[in-house]
Amino acid sequence: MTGRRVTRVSGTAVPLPGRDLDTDRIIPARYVKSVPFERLGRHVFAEDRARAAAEGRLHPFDDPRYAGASLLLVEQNFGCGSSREHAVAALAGWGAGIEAVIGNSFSNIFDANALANGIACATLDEPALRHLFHEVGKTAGTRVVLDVEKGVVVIPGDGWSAPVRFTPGSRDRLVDGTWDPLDQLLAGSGRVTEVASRLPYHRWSLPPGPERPTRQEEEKNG
Amino acid sequence: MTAPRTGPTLYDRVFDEHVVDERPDGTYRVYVGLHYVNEVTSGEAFRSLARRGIGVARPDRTVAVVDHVVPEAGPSIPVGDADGALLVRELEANASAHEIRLLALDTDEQGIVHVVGPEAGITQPGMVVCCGDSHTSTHGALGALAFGIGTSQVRDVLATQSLLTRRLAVRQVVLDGSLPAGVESKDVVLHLIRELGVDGGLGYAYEYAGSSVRTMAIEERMTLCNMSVEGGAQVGYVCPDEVTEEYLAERVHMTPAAWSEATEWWASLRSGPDAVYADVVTLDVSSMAPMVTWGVNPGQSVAVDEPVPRPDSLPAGQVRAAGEALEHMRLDPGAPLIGVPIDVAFIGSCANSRIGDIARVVDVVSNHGGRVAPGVRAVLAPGSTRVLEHARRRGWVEVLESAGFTVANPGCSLCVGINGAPLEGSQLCASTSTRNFKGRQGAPGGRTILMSPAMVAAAALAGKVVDVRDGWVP
Repeated sequence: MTGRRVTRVSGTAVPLPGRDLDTDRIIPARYVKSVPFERLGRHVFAEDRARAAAEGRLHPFDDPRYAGASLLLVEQNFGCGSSREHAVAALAGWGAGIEAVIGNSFSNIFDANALANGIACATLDEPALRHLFHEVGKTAGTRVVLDVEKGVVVIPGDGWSAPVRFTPGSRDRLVDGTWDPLDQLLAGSGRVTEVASRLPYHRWSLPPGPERPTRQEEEKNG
Repeated sequence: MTAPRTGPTLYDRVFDEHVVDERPDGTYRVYVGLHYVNEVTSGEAFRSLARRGIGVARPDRTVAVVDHVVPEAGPSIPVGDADGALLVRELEANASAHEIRLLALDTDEQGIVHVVGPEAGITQPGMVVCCGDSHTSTHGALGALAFGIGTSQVRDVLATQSLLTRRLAVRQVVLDGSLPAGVESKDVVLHLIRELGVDGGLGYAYEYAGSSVRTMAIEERMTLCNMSVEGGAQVGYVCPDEVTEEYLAERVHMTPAAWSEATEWWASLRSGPDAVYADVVTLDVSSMAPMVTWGVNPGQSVAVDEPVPRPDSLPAGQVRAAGEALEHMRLDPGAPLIGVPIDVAFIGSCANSRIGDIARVVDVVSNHGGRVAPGVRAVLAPGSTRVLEHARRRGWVEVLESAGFTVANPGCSLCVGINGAPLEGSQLCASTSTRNFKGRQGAPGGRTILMSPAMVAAAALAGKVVDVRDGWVP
């Protein structure tokens, strides 16, 4: 059974400058502790947004120009830090829902978490990313299309396009709709058992109990 | 199955042994030899399985631990914290329902997952180890291939004891030389992250090698592997050697015949002299200094006797971030870090909460003979009950408490600040934890300076950042 095929993401974009935006900022830990996945959207970037508001600034996620965006523009190392998938859920639950993130680079774990939710993480070279940030920031409602299948990002309004890259396997899984692999994994359980049976540590790892001494205790006892 | 490569690294050998399928798109389905689950990231995964009526494939290869929400004081079960209590009850119920081994609260198995797993002899060389926590890389110190995963992958592993993953490139990080007095593995890894950048390790597994690593105890190697992910490397490991064997001999439960087989297999996993790496980085630890962070990510650090950098002296791409960081941290460009007053001192976390870490803290405290500075809240959270009991037997708890430290329940504590005792307001915390991100320690305006245990101990007594080499270590 395959899921929704992600071949293109088309919509407006929200530009979020700043490198190394970590998952503690995307979704602070206290929300991870207390709020279910499906309700995290309203808390995305909670502290950054509160700080901006207190300082009389408008965080992009509160800027009405970018309301309803389905693409997120970021810089380097987006989603670094904690492995919390809640960060992806928060982005997916904000507004109409982020469906794709375009940036210089992504944390390996964030990238895998996004893929597991059918969200594309596309990397773009610096000059192209600068151009995209500039265009999106300049004109509210600029439509951006991420063509996952063809591996390009396009601004249909002026025909500008640039190639994007995905981590190995991501593009195919998005396009095929197999980004959620659970059914595939469940189907192949026999092979897993085979591999497990060949790994020697299963024979050695015994649950400890009062009757099972450690190696050193055994040596001591002779 | 992939043909064996010439010159495999440990990563290659262990990865290849665990491959179930190699896919045409360049990713792999991999068997997970050991799966740790915690209360924060497993709940939704178990619910997902329950909705589909799927059980846990290998409960015998799964271990459950509660660590993030353990309160600082009182009973370890967070009775006064409804959300925390719910997470704990859920994990306990899931462990019971699926017959998963639980390292339970208020037993001698309690503690931070990346402390108690190795401590109990559960993590062993050559295993692929996963957990819904990025610091799972810690277990690589024992020669395991260990990495953090998100909740959906936790679900995949629970259901099938496997997941889809990419193959990483292997960078060998050679650490040569001898650590100077007052400098420890935490400083080395902070130095490394500064050198290579917080994103330098993206797409890589780090193999730590070299004469300095060979002389490090397992706990010190754990600090290196733990912080690998802060440099972007999802995996960090050290090839098993005699030090690894000695550590495991005290902890595993094996028959002599099994032990003989195991040690032979572990030795066979090591990267050979012909191992091929994507690249090699060599650092001389002899010239390193105690490190302190000045910013809001672990890469924004300097040696303690260096000044806070001026943002415009940094590479162009880092200038704006540095300016914002210093604004948050309320530190002045060009000013010394030595002498910056602190409000809170925290010794703990999966990076530094083990016996050796506490020993170094006690050395500093005993050598100095004083107390925690007035107005400073000093907390030491041992990584596990076994670590705490060891500390008690040695008289260390008494030394610390007499000096004004709070010795907390074993758990994650102030590292992530969700146990009911976070930072408050804009408090500045000298911390042995892993992250100095904005808001990390539980207060949006809270500020963190990452350091080694000895450095935090000295700062606690002085009430400010000090250079631990100035007479603080015996």
